Amino acid sequence: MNCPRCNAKIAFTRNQCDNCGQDMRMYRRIFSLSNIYYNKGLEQAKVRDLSGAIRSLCQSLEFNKCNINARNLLGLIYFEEGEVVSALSEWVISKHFQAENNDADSYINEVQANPNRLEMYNQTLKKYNAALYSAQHGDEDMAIIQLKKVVNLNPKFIRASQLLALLYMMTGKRDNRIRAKRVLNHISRIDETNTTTLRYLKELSDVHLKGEAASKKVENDNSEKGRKMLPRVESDAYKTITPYKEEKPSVLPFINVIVGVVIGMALMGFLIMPHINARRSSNANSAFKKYSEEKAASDSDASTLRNEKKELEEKLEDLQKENAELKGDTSGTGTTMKESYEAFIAAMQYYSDKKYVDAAESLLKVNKNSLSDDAVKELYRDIKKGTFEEASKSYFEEGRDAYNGQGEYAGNKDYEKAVELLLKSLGFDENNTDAMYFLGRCYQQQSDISKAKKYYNQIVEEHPDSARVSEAQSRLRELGE
Amino acid sequence: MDFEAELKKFQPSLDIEQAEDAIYGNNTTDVTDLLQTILLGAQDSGKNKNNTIEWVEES
Repeated sequence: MNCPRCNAKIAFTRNQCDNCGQDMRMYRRIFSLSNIYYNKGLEQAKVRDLSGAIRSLCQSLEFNKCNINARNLLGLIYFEEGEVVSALSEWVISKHFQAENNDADSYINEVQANPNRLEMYNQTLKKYNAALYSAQHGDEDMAIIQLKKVVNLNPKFIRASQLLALLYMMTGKRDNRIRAKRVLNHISRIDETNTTTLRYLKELSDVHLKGEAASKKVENDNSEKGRKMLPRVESDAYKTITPYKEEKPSVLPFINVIVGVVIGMALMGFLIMPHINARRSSNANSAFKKYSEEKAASDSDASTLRNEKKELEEKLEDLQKENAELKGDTSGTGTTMKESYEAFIAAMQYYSDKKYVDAAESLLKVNKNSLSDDAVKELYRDIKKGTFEEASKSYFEEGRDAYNGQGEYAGNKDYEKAVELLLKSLGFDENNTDAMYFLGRCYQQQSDISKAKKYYNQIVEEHPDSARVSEAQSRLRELGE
Repeated sequence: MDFEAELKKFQPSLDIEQAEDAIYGNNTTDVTDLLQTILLGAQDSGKNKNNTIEWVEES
């Protein structure tokens, strides 16, 4: 024991302080009372009468604030009930009064050792405060949601559980009353004598949880066996007798129903219908989007199919062409392969008979592309070289006779025939300037000046070394060039 | 049960940051303090009593 005056250590049995002479009898009695209350609090805490223990320990501390054991135990009980701040406060004050060899030190360290846990405690307290604020301002649903979280985080938080139970009870729903009873049952196991909990449980005495009624019955049976008691009477067996009162018909329920229907319709109109419309619109949008996508996909498919069709048609055309060629038909000249070869053989025959003009005529019928062999092509070129010039010359001479009215056409100038023959001549040799000149002459005679000029100019411009150049120039001058 | 009245009984809990306020706000005056104050008061009044000059009625 310490002397309250000089704080010197003195034996508990001493009547006077050896240091300052303070009379210790009164103080000793006070300290004894403090210890008595501490012991009582300890006993109560052991049987989970935490509320009673708190009261006893507070009384103990009122007698002696330096009763470290009482203060530490009070902190522990607070902590057990989820009152972390109160617990820490008690331990800190305890440490203040006795810095050395104090259990409070280890308690504080244990709480502060895990920052996450400390943060969790802090969050539960904040959420509890927020829930309380919501509840006191009429937002019970929000308060219930937050308190559920709080109770999940710290199931020993008695105050939060009590508030949650109270809010459940306030709703008046049967399910919520069952939930409230569950919560209260849970916290009643932590603090068995909490008057608030007991009061709430009494309010919920009509609610029976599963298995609860059976256990109570067994308990009652056992107690009845143990000692003889008066027959048990149900609490609601006797009711207060109230004078009979006939119910008067009232229109209020009907008005309530009508008002309810009107409110329901209004709610439907303001809350549900926009939602339904929005959903319809959303569905329509999504359907349109889907349709657009499908259309785009089908367009793409159609385009692809068109391309494929075109490719296939081209391929078919190529194949038909190839087939025709294989069969002997050539699309370019209309001459079949067979006819080409026949014409080529005839040309060879005429060439060997030195009938160069006939050979050239036959060679014209040959489709060069249908000649597959290189040797045949070479032969074709040789015959062409040996015959075409001769054929061109022959046709030119015949054409010139037709122009001049000589030879076969003696006394009968035939410009049209001459043109026909001279064009044939040019067909065999495109550089035959004689044929060009006489073609110009024929057209000049026929007054087709432009065609005449064309052939004269062709001689002058493309064949300047030709013997017919001066004559062509002279004719052009005649025509005014 | 009057739920509103019950609801009013619930008080906000202090955060851990506010623990310091709770500690400083804790009333740590106990019976020993009161006794000591009473005893000191008694001593002071005893001293004062000795020093008091009594009223002398003039004739």
